Amino acid sequence: MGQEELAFPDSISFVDFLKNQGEIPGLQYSLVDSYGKIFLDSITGIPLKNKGIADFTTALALRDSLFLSYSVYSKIQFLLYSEVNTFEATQEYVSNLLRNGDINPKIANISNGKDLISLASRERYSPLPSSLFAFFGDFKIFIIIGIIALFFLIALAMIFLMLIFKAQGNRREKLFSLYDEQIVEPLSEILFEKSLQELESLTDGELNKSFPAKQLNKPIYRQVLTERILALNKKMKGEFKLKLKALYKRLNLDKVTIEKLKSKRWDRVVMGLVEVNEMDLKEALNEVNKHVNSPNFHVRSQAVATVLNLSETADLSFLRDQTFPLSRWQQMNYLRIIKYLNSSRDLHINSLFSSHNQSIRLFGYKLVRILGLVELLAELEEKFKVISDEEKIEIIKTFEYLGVPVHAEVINDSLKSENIELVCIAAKAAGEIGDLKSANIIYEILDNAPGFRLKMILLKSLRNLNEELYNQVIIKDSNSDLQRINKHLLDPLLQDV
Amino acid sequence: MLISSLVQFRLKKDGYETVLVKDGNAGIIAIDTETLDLIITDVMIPFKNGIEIIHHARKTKPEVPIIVLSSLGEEEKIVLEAFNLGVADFIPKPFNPNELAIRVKRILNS
Repeated sequence: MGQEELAFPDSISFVDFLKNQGEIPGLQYSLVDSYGKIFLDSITGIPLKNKGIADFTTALALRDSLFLSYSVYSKIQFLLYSEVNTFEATQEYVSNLLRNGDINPKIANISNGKDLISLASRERYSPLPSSLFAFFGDFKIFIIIGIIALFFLIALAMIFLMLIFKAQGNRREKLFSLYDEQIVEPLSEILFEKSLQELESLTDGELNKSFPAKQLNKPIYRQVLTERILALNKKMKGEFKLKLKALYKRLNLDKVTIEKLKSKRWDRVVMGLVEVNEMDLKEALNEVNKHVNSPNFHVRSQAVATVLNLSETADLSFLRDQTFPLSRWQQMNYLRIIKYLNSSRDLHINSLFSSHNQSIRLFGYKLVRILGLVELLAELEEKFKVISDEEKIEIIKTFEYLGVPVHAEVINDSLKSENIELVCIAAKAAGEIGDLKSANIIYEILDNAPGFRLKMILLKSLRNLNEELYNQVIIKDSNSDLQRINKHLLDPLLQDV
Repeated sequence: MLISSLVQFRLKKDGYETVLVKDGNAGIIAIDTETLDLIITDVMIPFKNGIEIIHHARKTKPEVPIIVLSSLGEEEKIVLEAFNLGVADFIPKPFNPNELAIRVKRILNS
């Protein structure tokens, strides 16, 4: 028993346990004086609680009442099965009872008391907050409150800004509608009731009767007027177009357009370029030329289109010097304009061949093909030896498309290339514009040609160039691919597939 | 709206009374409620397209001639459909308002 660990770490916790537990089997208490004698009842003369006191709390109460009533000091004695025992023996006895489960401790009471005492001993002393805002002294709370407050402030600021923008937008829309209505009548009158000469000879005063100078100074009014004139210019033809352009200049809107070209905002510059293009503002070409190599795609595209459209003298040399690659969209856009202009003036398309920009050179080759510029084929042949495979492919496509059978040498050279794509294109072209040498080269490379697709192109071209050689190949070679291709080519239903 | 306002201005100048509507729905109502001698419509208009307007006019007022204004870029199918519905004339944009006025006069006189 003695070897077992005690259930109570100290005497205080044991005393607390006894106070909470009440009666414990086999354990009683008696009160003795300082000499160890048991107190007797003064009336009956029998020992006070002769049979022992069952409850430790009662024993404590009796002791306190003796002291308070008679000023007698007494102490509690522990009786284990009616025999006097020491405090330690009693503590060990109770510990044994607890360990064996003979008594059920009132744990809550014990632990509560114990926790409170131990927690109280561990906690450092700190005074209670002296004022309502003392918690601000805690920096964590302060940071959290700060973040929440910031969040709300930002949300409020955003709502406020949104409301401002919305209000501005609404105001702008209202002004747009208002100016729209104001513009219709004077615009109609000028277009239908004034001839072009009359319009051009209008004085500022007369013009301001229809379009007040005060209004013309307002940017939104000018914007509405510009947009409407541009829209009408797109939808009308004949003298109305000329009148609209004359009116645009008379209202000095062309000066606003040129100012837009100097803006730092790319969207304003593009808007200005569109206006220059639509209203044929040739006097703005110097400013437009500054944007033809702009790093901004939209500015660059629109500037090039504008220069091509408006300049009567500009050829494609300005495009040659562009450093940015041409996208397919840009190529289509420029092609539409070049196609239109090429019939009326020399655009020096061959200047594109000497560009340092490969995409521009490729565009040049495509132009030769699409516009049928046979006179430039000799220049392409000259360049052939010093250009990349990608360019060679484009040039061969051009030769094939134009069907001029004088460039077989470049095709024959390409048939010997290690670039399969180039060989494919050259083989296809050889079928159309190749010569006997082409047929011999195809015959030679056919054995080692990689891939079904290339073999098919080679055989097809060989058949076009020299049927005798073609038959030799088919007879001597039992290669299953070649036999399949042969069947395919001879089949009247499949030969063009 | 600006184009229609200009056309209205031009026709008023020639002495015609005009009713201008801003979208397809208003156009349908105008066909039902107004007395009309001629309808001029675009193909691309808000809420209802020009073909729906022509369909409705053909159903309710088959005797009223119709002139269609449209961009050349618009689908050929739509233009053909308009002709199949029996429109009197088709004017491609860009157009000359004076030419439109002459066509209006010709149709109304015939």
